[in-house]
Amino acid sequence: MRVLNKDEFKLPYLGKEKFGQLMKIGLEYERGLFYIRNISNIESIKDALSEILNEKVVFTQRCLICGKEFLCLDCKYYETCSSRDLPFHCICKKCSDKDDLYDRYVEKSKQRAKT
Amino acid sequence: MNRQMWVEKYRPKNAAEVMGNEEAKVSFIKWLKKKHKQKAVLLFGPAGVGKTALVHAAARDFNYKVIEMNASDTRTTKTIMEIAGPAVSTSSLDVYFLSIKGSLLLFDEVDGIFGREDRGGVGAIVKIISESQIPIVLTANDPDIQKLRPIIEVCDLIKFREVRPPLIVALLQKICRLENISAEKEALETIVQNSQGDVRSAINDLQTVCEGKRILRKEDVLSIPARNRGLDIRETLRGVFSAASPREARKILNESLIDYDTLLLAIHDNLPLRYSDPENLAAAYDVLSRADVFRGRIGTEEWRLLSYVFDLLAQSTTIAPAAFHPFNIIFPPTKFSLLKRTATERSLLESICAKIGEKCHVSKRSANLEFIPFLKVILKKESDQASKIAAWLRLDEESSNYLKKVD
Amino acid sequence: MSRNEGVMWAEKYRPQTLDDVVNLRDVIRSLKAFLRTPETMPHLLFAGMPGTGKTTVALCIARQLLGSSWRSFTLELNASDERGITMVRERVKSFARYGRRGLADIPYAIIILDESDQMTATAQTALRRIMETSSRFCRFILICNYSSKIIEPIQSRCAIFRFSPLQREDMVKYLMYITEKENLDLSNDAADLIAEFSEGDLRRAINILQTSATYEEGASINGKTVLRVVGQANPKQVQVMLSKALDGKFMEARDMLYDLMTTYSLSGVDIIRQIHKELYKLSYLSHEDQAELARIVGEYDFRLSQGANEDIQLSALLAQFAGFMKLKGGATSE
Repeated sequence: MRVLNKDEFKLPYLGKEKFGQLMKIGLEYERGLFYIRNISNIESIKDALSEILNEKVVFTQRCLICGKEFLCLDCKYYETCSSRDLPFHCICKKCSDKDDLYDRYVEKSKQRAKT
Repeated sequence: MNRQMWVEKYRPKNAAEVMGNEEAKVSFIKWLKKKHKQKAVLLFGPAGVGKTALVHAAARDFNYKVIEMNASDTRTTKTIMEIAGPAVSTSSLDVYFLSIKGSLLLFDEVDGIFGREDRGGVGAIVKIISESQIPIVLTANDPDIQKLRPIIEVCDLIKFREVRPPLIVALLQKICRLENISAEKEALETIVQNSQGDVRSAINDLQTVCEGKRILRKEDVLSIPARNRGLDIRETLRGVFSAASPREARKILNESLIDYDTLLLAIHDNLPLRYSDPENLAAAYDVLSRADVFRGRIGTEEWRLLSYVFDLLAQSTTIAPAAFHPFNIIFPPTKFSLLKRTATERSLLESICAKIGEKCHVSKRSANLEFIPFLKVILKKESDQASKIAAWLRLDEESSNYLKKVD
Repeated sequence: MSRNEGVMWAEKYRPQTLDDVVNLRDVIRSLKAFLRTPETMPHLLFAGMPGTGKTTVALCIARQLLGSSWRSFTLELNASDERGITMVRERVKSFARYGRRGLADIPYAIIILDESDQMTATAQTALRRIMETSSRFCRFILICNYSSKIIEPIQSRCAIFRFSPLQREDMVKYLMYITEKENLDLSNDAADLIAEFSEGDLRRAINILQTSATYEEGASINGKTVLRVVGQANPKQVQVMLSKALDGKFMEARDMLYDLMTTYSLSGVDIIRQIHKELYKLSYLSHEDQAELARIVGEYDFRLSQGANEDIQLSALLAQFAGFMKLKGGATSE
C-alpha cells in the first residue's frame, strides 16, 4: 500500500514511459516532488495511479480543525464513507470527539475564508 | 410552538456554515468574486450535499440577491420562457432583472427540470447566459446528460461530493443541542451512515426519529433498514395495505423512513387496486384527501400535523381489512413519469400561453382556457388568416404544429 | 381595415378610451369623476365575471392617466402566473425602483393585478402590506371574479366597481359592429347563438366570432358554422370523464383526469369548475342527486383551496362520484 500526500509526494524511479503516463493522468512534477492540483477527477487519478504503481494507493487526509495529517484507515466510518482514501479535508478522531466540533468547524471555515 | 422542518430551520446562513466540500466552496466564492472565465457556473454533484445551500449562503455573505429561475411549476419562481419570449411591457422589466447589479440568477436542478427532448428550454438558458449581465449559477445532480451539453459548454464547472460522515455527525449533534434533545452519538452515527453523504436526508431522518422525543437512543434508530429506498417503500406499502387494523398500519408507517409526499402519492396510486368496491374506494379516498389537506398545511403550520397525516393514511389503507387480496404494488408513483413524459408538450403549451397572455392581457391560465381551444380550431383550418394570427402571436413552427395536431 | 393583419379581434377591438366602452355607464361615470382629480383616486377593485370589461377599463384608465408612455408606468400581473406573493412583492419593488424616473409628469404608477381572488388569504394579507408601502407612487387596480373572496382589509382600501355581464342586445350590437368593420356578414341566428354560448362573456363571444369567420372561406357567418366551431372548441373530456366516474368506471375516469392535467395543462380548479358546470347538464340525474353531488364538489373545491395535491383531490372527487351512484343502485349512463 502506498500512502501519498496529494500536495507533495515522492515516488521511486519508474522510467520514462511510466513517468509519461503519470503526467497524462494529471500529476504534476517539480524538483523531485509530485503533486496533484486539480482533484475534480481524483477518483480516476487514484485508480490510474494504483495501476501504474501496481499497488493500492491511499491519500492522507488533513484535519480541518487541527491541521493534522491522518489516514482514513483509522476512521470508524471507513466502511461506509464513499470518498475514503481520497485526498479531501476531514476531521481527525481526536477532534471528532470534541463536543463543540460544529462551532469549531464554522470558526475555522470563517478563518480560512479570510485568507 | 411553531415547529418547522429542521432542514429549513437550520439552513446555513453563511458559507462557513455549509458543511463539507471545502474545495468547491473556495472555488465558488472565488468565482463570485468575479474571478471567472465564463458568465455561468454549474455546481454539480449528488443531492443534498449543499449546492443550493451554498449559493444562497454565499450570496448572503457577499450581498448578492438571488433570483431563482425554474422551468417547472414550483411556486415563487419565474418560467424561463417568459424571459426568452418576445419583449412586451412586462418583459422590459425582465430585461431590467437581467441587468440589476448585485443580483445573480439561479437555475436550480437544471437537469431534472426538463423532459428528455426539451431542447427549447436548454436553448433558452444558453440564450439567457449569453445575454445576461449578471452572474448565473446552475445546479445539477448529473451533468453528464447529453441534453445539457450546450449549457455545459458555456459554464465553469464545480464538482460537489458526498459530505463526509464526521462533518454530518457534528451538524446533527449541534441540531440536537439546539433542539434540547439528548442524543447518543451512536444513534447519530447510524443516521449518518444511512444518509450516504446526503446532509438533507440526514437532517430529515433525524427529525423523523426524534419526533416527540427528548432522548434519542441508539435502539430508536437501529430498526431503520439500510437506505435502499425502492424496497423499503414497497414493503411499507404492502404492509399498510394488508394490515388488519389502522393501528397495525400506523405501526408500519412509524418504522419506515419514507418521505410522506411520496407515500401520499404511492397510496393514491394503489388505492383503486386495493378496493374494488366503489363505496370502499370512495371512503378510502375521502380519508386520503383529508390526509393530503393536512399535509398541505404542514409547511406553514404545526409539525405535529404530520402525526395526523400518518393516522389518516393508516385509516385510508385499512377501510375493509377483510376484503384484502394481494395485488401488484405500483411504484414509483405514476405522476412522476407522466409529468416527465408530457414535459415537452406542457412547456410548449405554456410558452404559447405566455405569448397569448402578453398580447391579449390575460394570464397563461386564462389563455389556456379562453384562447387555446379557439386557436386550435383556427390553425387546424390552415387558412391565410390562420398563418397571420400565428405570425402575430409569434408562434414558431413547433408551436403551430402542436396546436394543429392535438385534440 | 381588412382581415389581413392577423390580430386577434378580442384585442383589436378592445376599446382604447373610456368613452369607447359601450356599456357599464355607471361605472364609467364614477371612474371619470376620479380621473378628473387623480390624487383622490384610491386603489380600485373591479369585480365581475370574465369578459365583462374589467381589464379593458383598467387599461383605459392607465392610458388616460399616464399619457403616451403609459406602458412604462403600468405593471400587469396575474395571480396564477406569479405563483406566490414573494414574486409579486419582488416585481412591485423592482417596478417601483425602475418607474421612479420620470415620475414627475404622472400622478403615480399603476399596477393591475388580475385574478386577485385566486390568492390565498395569507397572500392577500401580504398584498395589503405591499399596497400600503407602495401607495405613495402606485395605485393598484385589483381584478377579480368574486369580491367576496377578497379579504376585508383590502376591500376597505379600495373603491369597488361591479362589472355586470353584457346584455344580449349589447353583445349582438358589438358583434355586428365588428363584422361590419371586417367586411363580413353575420346572420341573426349566428349572432344569437354566439350570444347564448358566450354566457355574457364578450371576449369569448368575439373569439367564437373570429374563429367562425376563419372557418369558412366566404364572407358570411351563419348559425351552422357557429355550431360547428363551438362543438370543436369545447372540450368534451370533462363531460366524458364525469360520465365514466358516475358509471363506476373509476380507473378510466382517473386516466382521463391525468390527461387533462398533463397534456391539456388544466389546473385542478379549472377542472372542478367545469365538473360543476357539466353536472347540471346531466339530465338523467334527479335534482336531489345533482344537489348532493354539487355539495360534494364544493367540499373538494374547498380542500383544493387549502393547498393540497390536485390529482389526489380530484381523484378522490371522482371516487366519490363512483361510489355515490353505486349507492343509488346502479348508474344510468347515456
